[in-house]
Amino acid sequence: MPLSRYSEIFQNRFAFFESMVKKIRVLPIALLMLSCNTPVPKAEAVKFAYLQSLMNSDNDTTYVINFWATWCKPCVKELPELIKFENENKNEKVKLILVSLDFKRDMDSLLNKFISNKKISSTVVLLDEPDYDSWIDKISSEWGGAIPATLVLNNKKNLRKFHEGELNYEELNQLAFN
Amino acid sequence: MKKLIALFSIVSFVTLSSFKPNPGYEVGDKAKEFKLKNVDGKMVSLSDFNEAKGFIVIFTCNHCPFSVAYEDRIISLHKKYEPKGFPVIAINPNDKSIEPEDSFEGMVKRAKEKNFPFPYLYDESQYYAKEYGAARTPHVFVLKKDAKDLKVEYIGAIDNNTQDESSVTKKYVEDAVDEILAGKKVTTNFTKAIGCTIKWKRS
Repeated sequence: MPLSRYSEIFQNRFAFFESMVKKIRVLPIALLMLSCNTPVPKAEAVKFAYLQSLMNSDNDTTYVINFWATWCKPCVKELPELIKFENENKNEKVKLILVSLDFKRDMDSLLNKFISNKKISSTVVLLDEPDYDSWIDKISSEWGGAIPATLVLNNKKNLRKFHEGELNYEELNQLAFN
Repeated sequence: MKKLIALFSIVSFVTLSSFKPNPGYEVGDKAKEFKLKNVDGKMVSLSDFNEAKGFIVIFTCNHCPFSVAYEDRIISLHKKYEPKGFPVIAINPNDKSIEPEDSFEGMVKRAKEKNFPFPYLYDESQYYAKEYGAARTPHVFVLKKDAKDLKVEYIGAIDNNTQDESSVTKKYVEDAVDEILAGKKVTTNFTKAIGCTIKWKRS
């Protein structure tokens, strides 16, 4: 084959290769953009009616309703135990609801930032009910109002237990399944 | 033998019943006097206040965001009611090894920063927090002098909106003290609020 022909083939293949490289270079940028569009977990602000409907539900899900706040050290300390409990009991239909009592004005700066940093995928809500006295007893008449506090309920199994203070995995297991 | 069993029953009943944990005061109970260290280093007891008609005792601390949110309102309560015979007496019941910010030094610092006009006392042994039944911070016990006794007239929250003072619609402590001053019975004598746990000493 004449040299010019080789050169022509090489140039064509090189051009093809070059165009492919150009396309591939775009790929990481495209992937980055895709990951940016993936929804970041965020908390939803709810009223007490949201909790009331959970407490009234007649399905066979065991709800672990935990009252906490981002600035509450013992609350933050027990979170991994609660999340672990939910993850290990998905077959038992256990659902963790993390009810934050952070101030509403701190929803983005504290709560959503916390959820994002810790990559919390459990349900997080901010309870927007500042008149505390109007609903504390509806959760439990035993509750003195301090957080953390946890309500475990499963209406189908007639299960309703309240615990004020920190919980570890074993204690939560006892509450939910004993 | 029967006498022995009877004696044993009485002794065990008495000793076992004394081990029952104190659930704290209820409205109507007589409150215990205390003598605790103030941020200025001096000891303060309720009997020091001869002119007072009663006290607004508040278990509170330095670190808890709920307590911090109420600091200005607590100052206002003292400024309004101390001249009327009801001074605020703030007490920090927390264990500093669990919450270092709630040390005595932390109290001195905070009292200075905010220019607290009321005594801010340190319940280091946590005896009075247990005795009164403090369940969270902040937690209020309004006491009224009744001859030689101190009667608990109100237990609970300061008002019904921690986050936003401008949205408060119920000023529980103010209403209670106003009613006491007017010689009336306190209408709302018990409320609850969300607050931080008391940092009890670990045994």
